[in-house]
Parts: sequence; structure tokens; C-alpha cells
Amino acid sequence: MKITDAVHRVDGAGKLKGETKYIEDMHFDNMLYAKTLRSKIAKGRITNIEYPELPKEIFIIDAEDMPANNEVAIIERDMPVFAKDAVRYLGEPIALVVGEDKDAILKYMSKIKIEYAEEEPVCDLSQAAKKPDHIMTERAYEKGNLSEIEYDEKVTEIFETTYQEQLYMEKQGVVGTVEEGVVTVYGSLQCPYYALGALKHAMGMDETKLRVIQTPTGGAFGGKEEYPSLLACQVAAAAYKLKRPVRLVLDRREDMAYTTKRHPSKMVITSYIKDKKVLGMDFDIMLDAGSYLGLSDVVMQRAIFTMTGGYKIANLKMRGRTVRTNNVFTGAFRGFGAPQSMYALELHMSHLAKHLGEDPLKFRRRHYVKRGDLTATNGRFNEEIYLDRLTDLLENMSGYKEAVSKKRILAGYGVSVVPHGGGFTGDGEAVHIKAVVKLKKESNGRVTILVSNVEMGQGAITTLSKIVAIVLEMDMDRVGYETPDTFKVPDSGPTVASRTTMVVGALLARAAAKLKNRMHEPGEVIITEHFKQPDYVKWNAETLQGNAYMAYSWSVLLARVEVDPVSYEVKCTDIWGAYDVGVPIDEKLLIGQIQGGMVQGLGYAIMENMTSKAGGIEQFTFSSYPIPTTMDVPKLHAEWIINPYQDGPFGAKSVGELTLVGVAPAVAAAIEDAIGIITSEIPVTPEVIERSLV
Amino acid sequence: MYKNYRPNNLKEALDWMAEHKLIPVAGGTDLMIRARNWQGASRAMKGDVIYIQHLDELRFITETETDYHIGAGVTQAQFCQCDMLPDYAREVVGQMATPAIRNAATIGGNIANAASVADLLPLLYAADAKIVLRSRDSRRVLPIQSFEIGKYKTARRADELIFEVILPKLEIRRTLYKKMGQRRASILSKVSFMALEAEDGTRIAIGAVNDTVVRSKELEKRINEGGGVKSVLDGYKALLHGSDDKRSTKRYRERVVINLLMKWMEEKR
Amino acid sequence: MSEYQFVLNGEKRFIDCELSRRLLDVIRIDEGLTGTKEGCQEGECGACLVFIDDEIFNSCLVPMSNVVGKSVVTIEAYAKTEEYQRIERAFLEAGAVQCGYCTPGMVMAVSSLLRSGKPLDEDAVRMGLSGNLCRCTGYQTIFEAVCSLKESGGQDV
Repeated sequence: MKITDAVHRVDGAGKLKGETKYIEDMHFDNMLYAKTLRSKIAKGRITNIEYPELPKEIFIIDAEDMPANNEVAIIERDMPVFAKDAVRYLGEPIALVVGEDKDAILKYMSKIKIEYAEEEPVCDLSQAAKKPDHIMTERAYEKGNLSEIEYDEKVTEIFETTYQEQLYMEKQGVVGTVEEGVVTVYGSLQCPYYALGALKHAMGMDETKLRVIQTPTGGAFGGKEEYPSLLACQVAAAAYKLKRPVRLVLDRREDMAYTTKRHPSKMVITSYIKDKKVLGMDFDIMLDAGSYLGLSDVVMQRAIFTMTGGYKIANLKMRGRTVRTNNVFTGAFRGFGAPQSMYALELHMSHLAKHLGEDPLKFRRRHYVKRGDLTATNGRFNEEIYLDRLTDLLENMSGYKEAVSKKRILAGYGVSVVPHGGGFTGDGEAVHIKAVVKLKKESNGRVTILVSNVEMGQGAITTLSKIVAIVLEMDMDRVGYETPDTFKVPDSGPTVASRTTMVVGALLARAAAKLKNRMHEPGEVIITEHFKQPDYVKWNAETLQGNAYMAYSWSVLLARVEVDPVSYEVKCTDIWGAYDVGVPIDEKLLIGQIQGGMVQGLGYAIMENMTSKAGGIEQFTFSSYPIPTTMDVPKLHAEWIINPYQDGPFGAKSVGELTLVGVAPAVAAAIEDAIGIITSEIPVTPEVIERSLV
Repeated sequence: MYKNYRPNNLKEALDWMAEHKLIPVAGGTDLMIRARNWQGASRAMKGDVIYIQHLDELRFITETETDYHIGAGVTQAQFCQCDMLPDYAREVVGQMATPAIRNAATIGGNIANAASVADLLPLLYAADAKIVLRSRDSRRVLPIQSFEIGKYKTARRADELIFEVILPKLEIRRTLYKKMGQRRASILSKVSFMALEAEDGTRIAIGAVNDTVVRSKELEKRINEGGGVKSVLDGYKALLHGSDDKRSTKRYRERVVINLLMKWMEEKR
Repeated sequence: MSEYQFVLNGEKRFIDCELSRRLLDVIRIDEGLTGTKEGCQEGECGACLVFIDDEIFNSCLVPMSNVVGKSVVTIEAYAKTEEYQRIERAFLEAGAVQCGYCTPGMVMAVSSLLRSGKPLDEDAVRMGLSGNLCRCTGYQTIFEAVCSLKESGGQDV
């Protein structure tokens, strides 16, 4: 078997039969249910909470019940587990109401009276950005000397994006229990050790008294990266106090209205052009972080570090800000800042090409980076980069040149060229994550993978098992995968940043190579492998200079749309994508990631419109927040080149996020091409098109 | 806690309706959503409920020389599958919701719900359909526009059930039906537009813009008489009172209606 | 004992709960059959599809009154059929499963499509699955899986 050959997913049959037990399907003896008591205002002080007399079997868990700290440790510790004196967003948790009977809980909750001294919330991103105390973080860097370059003209554009909701099919959910003196949290989550870190701080206990176990996760897309840390602290406190299992599964409307989603953004981009080439660029992005910082600063950094995309631009001025508002707090979502900045960059590049009277791909080709070039942050691109080859592949597979040379009525084409760095930013893998993996050979010759990276639909179990099986030259069904459980698996880092295959897979491949020599030994053999930063990664986190990422994956996309002249509805008929992900581990899993990312990106481009009004998310049901159905998806075409990466397992680089990032700018450009408009916001809904028509 | 009534037949249902204030639930595809609640908890019904989905007396499709009679309990799926009914009507119902929802949702439910976005209503307005209401002691026949009196408001008395819809047989020469939503399936309408050309000329019904469906016989007459396009469009513009909401904008809704009217009138020539 | 009954996966059951209780809650909580999922709670996502008298329904919107005297089949029983085996093979072969949360509902919709006797071309598949949302796959592998059932004799099930 070749590494790229498709296999059946390890977890497929159980899911098809409905046998896989997700958190809401699991049974715990003597379990209680929890419902979140939430703020009904966006900003203010809580002056009084009147809890009616507690009936038997109804319990309140609030800030007073946090054993050590009423704080959720994410990066900062600015968010409380339960709001105590003040509330900062609509829906902020104040307490859990816990009981055996859901009707009794709801009845009791309807009688709780909360009095507030309401304050004027700040909900508008631009207004908030004008207030210095609302700038949570600000980061900037420069390259070359933008102020002294000579140019023919400069072009400035402003772009805006709105919220995007992950809309995983399985709602957020956790169960807290106390098992033999250990406070244990089971949950649908991406990062068991993030949750454990938050629990240690909130509970004031160490990892021998706290335990996190991941349950089969029905989609996450970043939505179950940092948010479950909050839920874990809440149920841990409840279980610790009540000494019974406590289950907290959010109602879908709560999940949509009150959990993290993609940051709304405003971006200003100015290009300095000489001889039809971009010599310099000034980019400014602000993100609506909501009321707490969460991961927003990291999201913003990814947005600015990759801001020049696949282009060599000598002179840069970059600034990013995270802005505090009284909207719901925003966070991780597939792409992590790049969907916003790459939308702006790539649509801007298409606009520049049009302005200069050039084919958008031809214009881009003049700027392509190659190995050895300096990155935006003055690192060096270390691996081979084949953007011209990828662009040729796209042109050939789509018949691009012939298609765009024909006259088109109400049909249009748009392109994008997008990189995505795999793994943590800069030296994050070495300094912050320090991944450890283990491989265990049992005495019966079976091998078990011990990592904290979770299966959430992307195929992690299959991919990692396959890597180990092929290195060991054994059947995949003799390779097992231990449930990510902090009592059993080492911290190989979070399941984020498209790092599982590239970083964790590489560690497992190394461990497997070592184990191979010891397979003949009797009894158990355990191999432990630690992450080592490659020599070519140099990063200064203070100055933001150096290699922002170890390696980049690439996509070149073409979208074709048709626009209805009566209703302005957009039908995306085709998306073609040419990819460089190193060497794909399993072609079928790669296709699954590509197609899923394309369609999630299409939703972001044309239909997923989520807005906030006076601090409240307006679309908090499936019927008001449309994601693509079977009737909306175009024909999806994907091809790839093989470009082995020296430090990836079998040459693999990252995949997951890349596939979403480039879609929106390609589709937006195609709509513009079809109907002759210029746009500056996504989603490009029929309403936006109608407004843009002169 | 509310009470749940499950009658054995229509007579029993109407007897109970006469004696109690009851919310009729048929397929549940609207009311069960409105009553949604935490998994496993009681549904948050707003009053005592009577279930009528199982009443065979409400499930029939028959025809006379002049009309189709469609029982209120006929599901959308049954409506679509019924060869007897005209294609233009089946096409509208076939675009509603999803296959599974169409198996549950009833014709009577969409009418009784009286949502401004109810997709059956433009069809029924354009076809001059009538609604038959029955109570223990009475039977009333109302033209559809007299029945739908506002957003979520109908002329149904508390003791009445919708019994059937009478859909007149029309000789249809041309139709234009367009449902605009935020995507292509399973979506609430932003605009729902039905134009028919029958033996007596054009009929146009516009849903999902105002609280109730817009239909103007006076403007239809103007179209039939070949009146000026501008005067027709201005006439409709004056009737449209769209609004901005979380799904769309007033401006978009009204512009699309005008585009569709223009398309309809252009195709005529 | 209740006067109302229904049949669940071939076995007779008395309905002892409120008639307004959702079929989904009876299946998942009262019967412990958790293969049927609650996704959106409003009939939009299809994760809760079950058969009632051989037609698919969103069990999150079905009050128990509407299943009196009827036969309900969930994924647990359906997964024991030969027809299911063919769907399972096709889905595994096409790589049409990712997070799995929409999958049991999707399987029920595919089964309904097979039984409809409609030709399994892509348009029919798109229409037939239009009430099943999947956030992972982008649907194309699912279309491939279902269309492949045609080759293995989709009409005669």
C-alpha cells in the first residue's frame, strides 16, 4: 500500500450505524442536568439576584462555587467562569441551575429575578476602535521602507467581513463527574490539555486530581478549541460540589447565539504600484474580539503574518488590532484570521488586475514567491514553492484560458492564490506546545497510538494509524488509537492549526521508525518522541520577525458563478482547486477536507450572513442562518501536485484550514465578473448585489 | 401544564373545540418548532392542544366539474404526488421545505399558520381559492383573502377547524412562480411570487413582502388591458410595504418584485 | 396502562408519556436508542430522521400523538437490513463519512430515496437529500456514494 492510497475510515461503520456514542448519547449513573442562567443585557452591573427557595434536587452553581479561581485560563485570564458583579455580553453565564428533572429546572429558572444597573453597550466595531481603552491588543511590523518608495499610483480599498458560525452538527456538550476522587470532564472538544489547563487554574488542583476525556466529536471547526474550557470549568465545579455527574449540553439556540464564532473584521489595504507591479502594501485589520480576549490576539497575528499571501512584496507596513465590544466573544474557526485577510488581499489583487487591464492570474504570477525568498516577516521560505506549476495545473484542469476568453453573459470567473502555514505561529510549537507523543507495543504485538489529538471528523485516527502502520509495515487493524484522555495520553498539543498530520504525524512516524527496530522484543515497549524545532525556524516573538510558519501549503482556485438578473441570486456552478499539501496521507481524506472546506468557504462567500444587533446575534437558529444544502453545492474539482516536505510524515504538510481560506475571494471576484460590480464585503448576498448595481 | 386531546373522529374534535379553547396541531412542523424546548423537557405549548393529524375525514382530494377539494389534513407530499391536481400548484408545494417535512406538513397547517412567508398563500390567492371552516354547529366558506387577515392572524373562530380548501379549476395558459430564499432548498421565502394567466387574464399574488399576500384585481385589469408598464409598476410599488429583517431588506424585496412584474409583462408581448 | 400504542423497531410499545412529547425524546431518552441525533431542534438538519410507516420524518417535530398505531423504525433496526449493508459499503468506499453526526439521518434519507424508485442521478439525489445538512463533507462524496448504489441495483430493493 502506498501512503496516498485511500482506505476505509477506521471510525466509519460505527458512525453509519449510529453506534458511536457522542456526549449526549452517553449514560452516567445518577446524572444531573445543568442549564445556564444567562445575562439578559449586554453590559451592566448585577445589583441583585433573587433566587427563590431551592426545591429539593435543584442546585445553583455560581462564582462562589469555584474552588480556586473564577477565571477561565485561555491565554489571558480575563473571562470569568461565571459573571459575578458585572456582565459584558448578552447571554454571559451567571450560574448553572442543576437538577434531575429538566422541567423542574426550567420552572425554577423562570422564577429567578436578576436586577441590573444597565450601562450603554459598545457594539459597533468602528466606534469601539476609536476608544483607546477598547483596543485589547495591537501589533505592527514593517519591512523595507514603504515611505520612501517611488510608485506610479496607489490604490486603497476597504473590506468588511461579518461573523461566521462553525455550525458543527453536534452541539457543545460536557459532563463533569467525580470518579475516585478525581474531577473528570468528558466533552466534545478539540484540545483536552487546554481544558485541563483551565481546570487546574479554576479548581486549584493538579493533573493527578483532574482529568479530561474527549468524546467522539461531531464537528468542531475551531468552535470546540477554546470554548469548551469555559464549559469544563462550569461542570467541574458543579460535579465537585454535588459529587454526582452533571451534564451540560447547550441548546442549539444558545450554542449559536452565545458561543465563539469567526471575528467580524474591517480591513484597509493600500497598494503602491510601479510598472504594473505591487511594490509596497499597507494593511490594517481590526477584529471584533467581543467582550473577552480569548484567542483573538493569536487570530489577529495569523491574519497579519500571512497578509502578503503568495506574493513577494518588498515594502510593507502591517497593523492589526483586536477590539473589545459588548458582542459575544469571538474565537477560533478554520482558517483563524486568514479567511478575513486573504479575502481582502485576494479580492484586492483581482481588483488591481482589472484596474491594470490584466488577466488576474497573469498579474499574480509576476509576484509569486519561491524558495529562498523573504517572507513578510523577513523569514526565508525554506521549502520548494511551485506556484507557477500550480497555476498551470489549475488553468489546464479548468480550461481557464479558453473559458475566460469567451464572451459571458451573467456568468463569471474569479481566482485566488492562497498559502496557509501549518502548525503554530513562529516558535510556538517549540516554546508553547512542546508536543510529546507515545507509541506503545503491547505484548501481543499490537501497537497503540498515544496522543492528545482528537478525531472530530477530519480523519485524524485514520491518518495517524495509517502513518504508523506503514512505517511499521503492519496491517492498520493492528494499530490502535487510545482515546484522548489526560490520564492516558501525553500532551501532543491541541487539535488545531492544521498541525495534526504535519506535526504530530511526523513525531509518530519518527517514533514508529524507532519502534520498528524493537518490535521483536518481548513484552511491552513504549517509545516517546518530543518535538524538536527545525534549524531553519528562527522567530522573534517581540519584533515579529523571522519564520512565522515552518512550512506552507498552497492553493490556486477558480470559481465559476451565474447570477440571476431578476433575483440577483448567485449559483456557483464550479470550483476548481489546485493544491500543494506536500504528499497527501490518503487521497480520499484529502478530498474530504478539500470539498468540505470549499463548501464551508462558499457559505462564507455568499450566504452565511450573521449579524449582531445591540449585542445580540440576530440569526441564532438553523432557519435564519443558512448553510449550503445539497441543492447549493457546485461541482467541485480538485487536483494536486506532489511536493514532499522534509519534516512532514511521508512529506505531508497541512490541509484542513487551507481548503476554506481561498474560496470567498474567488467567488466574490466571479460574481463581480458576472454582473459587472465591485464589492467590498462578504457574504455577497443578492441584497449586496442589488445595492451594488448602479 | 396544558392538556392534550386526541379525538377519535372529526365529530369528537369539533365537539371538544366547541367546549374548550384548543390549539389544533396537525403535522407539527410549525407548532412543534414554536414549542421547542430543551431535549426531553415538556414542549412549551401556549395552551391546551388538540391533535388532528390522524383524522381520516380531513385527508381527501376530490374534484367536481369546477373545483378541486383538498382536505386540510392532506400532507404536502400527498398534494405533490396527486396526479389529479394541476402542475402549477404541485410545483409550488414541491418547492416547500424538504422531503421529510413535506411528509408531515399539511395544507391546512400552512394556511392556518398565516405566516407572511407561507408559500401556499400566493398560489391560493392567485387561484381565488376558498377555505371551508367547520365547527360543531356551522360550516362557513371564506375566500382566502377574507380568511387571512394579518400576519399570523386568520378569521378562524376558536371553535372552528379548517376542513378543506376549494381550488377552482383554471385554464392556465402561462405561469411564473418564483420563490426567493437565502439558499436553494429548505428556506423561508424572502419573496414568493405567483403569476398566472388564466382564461380571464393575468392574476398576480405576491407573498413574503407585506404581512399578507398582495393581490390587486385593479392592477391586473390594467395589465390585461395593456395599460402602461410604468403605471402598473407604480401601482404595485404603492402596495408593497416590505421591511428590513434578519433575512433580507425592504429595498431588495421590492426591487425583485418589480423585476418579476416586468418579466411577466415582457413575456406577454 | 395507556390506551395508545405504537410499534418501535418491530416491537409493540404503550405510549405512557404526554402526547405532546417528541418522538425523538421517546427514542433517545425513554428507549435509549441514541443513533438518532438531535442537531438543530427545528426540522432543518435531518439528523433525527426516522421512518414512520416507511416514510421519513424529522422526529424532532413529531408529537407522540402522531405515531399512535404506526410503525417507527430507527437506525438501530435499519442497520440490520441488507439494504443498509449496501449503503454502508457505498459510504465507506466513497469516503462519505466524517464527523458522523449527520450520518444516521443521512442513511435514512438515502434509504427513502432508494425506495422511491426514482432513478439515482445526481439531480434526484440532491433533491432527495435536500433536508439533510452536512457541515463536513461538502456532500460530493455522499452523491458519489448514493449514485454508486445505482450500479449495484438501486431499483430492486
